[in-house]
Amino acid sequence: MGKQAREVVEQAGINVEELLEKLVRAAAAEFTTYYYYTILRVNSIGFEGEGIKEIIEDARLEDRNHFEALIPRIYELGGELPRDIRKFAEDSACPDAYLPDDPRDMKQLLTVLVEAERCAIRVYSELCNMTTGKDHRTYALCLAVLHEEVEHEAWFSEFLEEGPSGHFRRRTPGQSPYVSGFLTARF
Amino acid sequence: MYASELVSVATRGEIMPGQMKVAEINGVAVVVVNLEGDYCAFEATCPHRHGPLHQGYIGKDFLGKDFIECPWHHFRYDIRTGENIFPKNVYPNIGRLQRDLRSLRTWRVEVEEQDIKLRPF
Repeated sequence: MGKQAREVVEQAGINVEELLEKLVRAAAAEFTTYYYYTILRVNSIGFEGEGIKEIIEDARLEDRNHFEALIPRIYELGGELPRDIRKFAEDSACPDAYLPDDPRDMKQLLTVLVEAERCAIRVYSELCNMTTGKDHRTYALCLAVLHEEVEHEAWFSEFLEEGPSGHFRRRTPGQSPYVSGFLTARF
Repeated sequence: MYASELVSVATRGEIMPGQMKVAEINGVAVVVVNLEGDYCAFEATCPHRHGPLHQGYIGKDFLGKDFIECPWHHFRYDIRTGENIFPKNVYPNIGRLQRDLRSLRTWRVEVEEQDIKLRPF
């Protein structure tokens, strides 16, 4: 734990225990989404050529990056991951991104994806609102994640004919243009 | 007190539009919300994992429904009917999720002059 790092956040008026709960739940959502997106990805064969599969892969790998980026901040502030992964998954900030009843229904699959991203946007908007001007490091991290979640939503909603995303695909899968700066353990 | 007797839980000036107040009725914590002068009441504990709904977020969804969002796991409920909005909109038919998609208990609100009253079950 970073004693001074935590103290300045507390002195700024943030309830650090509440913040930690939210960060752990956000990390759980990223971890479980990475798992569920793996299933959605392998079931998306042939949708829009392989277009949807490639986008799910980008989002999947970036969600894993979000998990990796959140963990150091949780421990710096004196938090920890639950010892039991079942508790961790159960407490995820967002519902499980289950494969739909009919895996060949592309619209259902896209609905699962877009709603998962929308939930993530709400999670990180709340974290940004909570930390802005008070906990600069958590705010910068959550804002970086929020940028990527917003792009993910737009990618999927485009296929639901809700309008163009305005974004191009990543240069490499899971590039994380905003969060990569926080992945200090990347090899 | 008789079961059908109205219980006063707040006065009109106490809850500003878009705000909420936690009250107690027969030992149950209830959230009373002011939606632009229209008062609604629902249980204060999220049926999903018992999160504190009074610490949640009130908003309007894409379909114009007023919702309360749980601060713990971001489940959303229709404030007027108590029905789960999210994630039910994603998984309306998955049986194993049904326990997680239970509706919020709601109370009928009556306003008598300045008093906001609920009718207990």
